[in-house]
Amino acid sequence: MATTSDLDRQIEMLRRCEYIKESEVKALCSKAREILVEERNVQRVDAPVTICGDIHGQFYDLKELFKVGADVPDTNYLFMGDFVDRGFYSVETFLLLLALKVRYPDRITLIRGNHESRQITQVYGFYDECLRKYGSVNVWRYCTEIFDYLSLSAIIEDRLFCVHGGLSPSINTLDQVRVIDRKQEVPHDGAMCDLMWSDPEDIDGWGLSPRGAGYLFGGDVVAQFNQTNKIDLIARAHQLVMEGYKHMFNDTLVTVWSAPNYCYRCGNVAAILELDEHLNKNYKIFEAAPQEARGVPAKKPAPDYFL
Amino acid sequence: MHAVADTSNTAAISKRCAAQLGYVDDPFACWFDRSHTRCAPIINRGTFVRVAAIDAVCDQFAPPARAPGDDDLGAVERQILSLGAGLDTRAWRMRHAGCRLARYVEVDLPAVCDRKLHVLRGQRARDARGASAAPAADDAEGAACLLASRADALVSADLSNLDSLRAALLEARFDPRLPTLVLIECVLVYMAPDAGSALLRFLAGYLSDAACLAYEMIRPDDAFGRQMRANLEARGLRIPGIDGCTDTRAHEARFAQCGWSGCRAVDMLHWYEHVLPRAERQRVERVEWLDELEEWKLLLSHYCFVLAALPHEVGAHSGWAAGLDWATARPAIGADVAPPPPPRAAAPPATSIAASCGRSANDRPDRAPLPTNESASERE
Repeated sequence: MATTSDLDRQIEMLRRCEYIKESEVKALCSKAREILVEERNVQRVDAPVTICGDIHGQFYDLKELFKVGADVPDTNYLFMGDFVDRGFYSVETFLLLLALKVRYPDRITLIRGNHESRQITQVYGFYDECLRKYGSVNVWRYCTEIFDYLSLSAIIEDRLFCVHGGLSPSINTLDQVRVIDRKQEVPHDGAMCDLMWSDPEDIDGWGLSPRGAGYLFGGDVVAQFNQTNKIDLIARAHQLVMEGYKHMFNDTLVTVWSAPNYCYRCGNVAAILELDEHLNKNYKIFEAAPQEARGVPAKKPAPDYFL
Repeated sequence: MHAVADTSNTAAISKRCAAQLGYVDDPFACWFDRSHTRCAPIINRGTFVRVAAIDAVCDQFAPPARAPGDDDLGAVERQILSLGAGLDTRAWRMRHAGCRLARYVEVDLPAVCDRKLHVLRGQRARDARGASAAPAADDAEGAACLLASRADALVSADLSNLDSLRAALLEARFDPRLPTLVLIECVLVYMAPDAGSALLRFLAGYLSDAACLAYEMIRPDDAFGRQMRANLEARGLRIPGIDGCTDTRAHEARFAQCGWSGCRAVDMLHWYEHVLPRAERQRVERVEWLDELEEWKLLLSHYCFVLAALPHEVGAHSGWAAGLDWATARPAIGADVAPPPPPRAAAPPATSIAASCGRSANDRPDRAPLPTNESASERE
């Protein structure tokens, strides 16, 4: 059985972007499952808390985030999913966040993004990365099993609803989120899928999503949802925002994006949202880690422009 | 290999991957990249856009056999001049489709031409081993026998040096009086702005009946554009040409200043959303699941297609060039599922090509078996 000192040693390794042994991943995931299984679909979180958006395997930029927002457990964090895929270090990124969750379960909340999925990770890199770094798909399998236990959303002080993607036409109340059986692969449609896939848009009511999953929802939908559930603000991630965050619908919804220079290509800044104990908002903007601080990926990356 | 010359390899990887996944019908792409590199969905779909937009113009210029309008062409001899052709396979694809084309002439840096000929020799040797009756592979008959047709040519020049280009065209016995479609795919961006303009001006004076299709990067000054330049420079690839033409309007103006007329530039995103027929767009959106829509729009808005024609003097030519437009040059719907026309003399049948590459055009790249029964690409 892993002890706290084992866990602290693993966290130190992961902080250096070194990956831990497959057997350690297995033990870590089994420990994480015991914690996550107890969490609610709408996990209650107390302020003060710092809300973060997509990370996408950009490990060295996650370290920048912890520099800007202070380390766990000094700061209480809520990560709104999409820890893996796209970046070069999904393994280290997810395992570090998971190890911190196991070590400090009350100081970090992880909710599920649409990339925390068996299907999506096979297309967008996490599967290949696990195979390359561990020589087998076991680590991918342990991690994707844990994805099924991640909470779907969070509510901060009964006032802020946090979710990866957005709203669902099948969901009017938080109680309807609470009764979803979440311990499964992200479905192709339905409430659970929509929470992870939907996007706000300047439309009335609902629209079809060009992503092929989830829906587009307008300001009137958000106003109705917020009124019904007595909340002030929806915080979500899921969409690249070049300025790091973006308010919509008269400040009833905000998108927070925490992957600077997304995919090492987009040139955007990133943001985290700090809420104090009175729920006052403070956005902190940060840029990608400097080139000299990041490791060189093991193999020549695939084409990323049209040349 | 020099960074600019190496871009031909990068493009070949993208095109091989897009062909393998079924985005584009290109049984020749695997000749020029034998890796198993799997590109991200936005690169695959973007490669489709690049190939399909240029194909649409080429098909309007030299329609495939038995296409509507075939008879209108009469006996007109048409040719394509591809400057900076790289490892592109369009010559083979057009010959294979029976396009009415007198010549396909490719020009690129010596290192790229050497690489292309090297690959073609290897391919010919493979074909020869597959069919023992075939002659031994050597270049006793010159490079021409390796090309898509005996009429075609591959010659080397530095496009920044017009003397070297003139010499290359002379060597290729290029006839500047024939109706010509000039393809300039990711070329001007690597040249100094003055050198790019000089090239366009030279072509305007040299050719008598021509249209030009350019495909280039734009918008270097926003956050994505700055990062694009920084990333390319970090691997030794400079893009000075982008400073001369930072958007679609600037490309149109530059062509006009260099003696071309009727210039019409569209960015890649506009082409995808407004020119590509809906049915074809729906087809490619089913090939892979692309959820990176913000990045997709960013990437595509940083490339543009420019169509230009030489001014039409009465009696000087047939006026076909001014008739080329994005509105008329649209991809055929379902072109990928139509049975291929019988190959012409020079082109081997598609099945043997695919077999020689070890896989069919619609295979997924080699990878471990999917651990679940479903794959993301099945989702619509």
